[in-house]
Amino acid sequence: MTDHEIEQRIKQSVEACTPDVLDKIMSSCTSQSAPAEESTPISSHRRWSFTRMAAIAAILVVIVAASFAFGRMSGAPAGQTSVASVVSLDVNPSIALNLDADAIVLEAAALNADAQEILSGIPLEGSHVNTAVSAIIGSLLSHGYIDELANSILISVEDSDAARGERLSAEITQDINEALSTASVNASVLSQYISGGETDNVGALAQEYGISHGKAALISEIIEANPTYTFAELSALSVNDLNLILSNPKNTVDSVTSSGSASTGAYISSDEALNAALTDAGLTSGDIFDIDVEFDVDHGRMIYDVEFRSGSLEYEYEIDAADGSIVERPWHVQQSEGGVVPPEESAAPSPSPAPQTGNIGAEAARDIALQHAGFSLGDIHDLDIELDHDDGRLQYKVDFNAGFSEYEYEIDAATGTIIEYDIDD
Amino acid sequence: MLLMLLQDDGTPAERLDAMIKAVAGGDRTALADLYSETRSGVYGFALSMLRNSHDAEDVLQEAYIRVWNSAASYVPKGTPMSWLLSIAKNLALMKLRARGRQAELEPEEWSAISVPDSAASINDRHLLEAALSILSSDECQIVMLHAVSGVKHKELASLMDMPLPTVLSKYHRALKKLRKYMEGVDAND
Repeated sequence: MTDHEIEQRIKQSVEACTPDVLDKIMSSCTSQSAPAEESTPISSHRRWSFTRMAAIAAILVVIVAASFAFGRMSGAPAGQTSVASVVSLDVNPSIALNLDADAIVLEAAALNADAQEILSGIPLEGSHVNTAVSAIIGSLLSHGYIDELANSILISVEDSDAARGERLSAEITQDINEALSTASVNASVLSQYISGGETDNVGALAQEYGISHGKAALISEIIEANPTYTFAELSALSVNDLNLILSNPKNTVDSVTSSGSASTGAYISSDEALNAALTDAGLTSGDIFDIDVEFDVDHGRMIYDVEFRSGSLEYEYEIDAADGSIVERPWHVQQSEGGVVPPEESAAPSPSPAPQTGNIGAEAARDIALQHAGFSLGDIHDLDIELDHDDGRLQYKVDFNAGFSEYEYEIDAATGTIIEYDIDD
Repeated sequence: MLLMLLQDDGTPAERLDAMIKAVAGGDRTALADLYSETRSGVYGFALSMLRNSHDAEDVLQEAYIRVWNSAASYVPKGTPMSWLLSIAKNLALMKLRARGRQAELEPEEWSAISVPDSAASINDRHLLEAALSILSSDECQIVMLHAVSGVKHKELASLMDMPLPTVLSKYHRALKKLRKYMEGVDAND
């Protein structure tokens, strides 16, 4: 089935199922007025399914639980010392410490199975948070949770008193850095302060994904910076992996302070990722410039985003950070910035990269499409070329605009045969 | 009638542009024409964002009421379809915000969508169902916008606030997923 056929069938199906609401519209459009700020009330068709009501009930339970937890910070139940702050430490083990106003540990909670092992046999209640954190760090080190493969620790402080919370966050971070320095461990510490107003939403997310408030808050901040991520895929990453993707400039999070560098020991190096891309593209390091290699995530998998330019083309690769394989082979090429290639560059194109065996190369595919459409390189804009496996064969998808039309070509990468093309006027 | 006043060789964009301008002048027939020409594109886009047929229907209805009331402020910038879809997008985002987070289309809700047998084959219906269930939110919106709403990739990139290569990459991956799905369906037939 061709792309065009798939689109046609979806279109027909949507056309068939589009409800006819013209009468309702016309009855509401007798005289024109300024649009209201809020949506005009219209008939509701909502039918609450059991599963949806159950989901809402579950969310309400979480919100109530989160409110209860945070409520303990601001008002002490009779006979209890109130919790002033909650400090959580995330490595893989996740631990929460409830503190009173003097930073004395009221309760230490293991938030996952690994954390139970860390806290086992360590009496923390009644000790000052500095002492407790030092003991936890020692236990994490002795159990091998902080090593050259994963050296990141996330410290999160929840407190309704912003000044106290931020001060506590800074002090604990300093304590941890000193403890790790004494142990000659090159760790990376991420620290953040979570205000009281954030806890309901963060608490609901933490509960839903089975992670700590601190990790949920960090993930929320990353997604705010880069909405292309989903909470589900980031929640499955370790703190070290989250720290690695924070090193990507597109994921800058101002509310988190960091020290040290996240360990990359579990992954191939950025040079190895670049070489994997170059090998696939049939290029050498001497052919390319404007190189950028950054950690990223694709469907929960740690990858390297590898970008470089060669001649008039920009290449984008996603390389699996664990094994150097090409992730879904998004061999992606587009025309260099400025839209239209300068005439002199069109007249004297840069040397084409040596194509792989059985692969005509991106520039040849582009030229085949242009020749078929009757354009030269200078006539077109928004060129994009992608190499993909479809129907058991490698093919180039060549897209470009010319005039007011959009051209899409699928070209067999081995033979240069045009498999399909579509012109959208 | 408005359409009779239009030149036969007018492009779809020119026709929609003229309709919106006529709506701005209080022409209810032009509103009905605009609705007739674009309703499936608006509904498909709303459905891809909301994945709920009832919410999408609400957005469809509300979008044209908004058009009626705001057509006077319409400034031709981009294509008229993009303007219309921007209205639908904002309404859908309001729905999503009210809902708290994006919900998936539940099977019983999907089955409530009326698709007359004569109008869409079972396989086509399966394909739409697949688009709404196996594609990511972005992929689904991109496919709907391109296939049903007729939005070109470059406009689509602007509407979705994404770089063009990202849009194209997601588009191709989405179609690949759908092709694989349909091959599975065909193999089982």
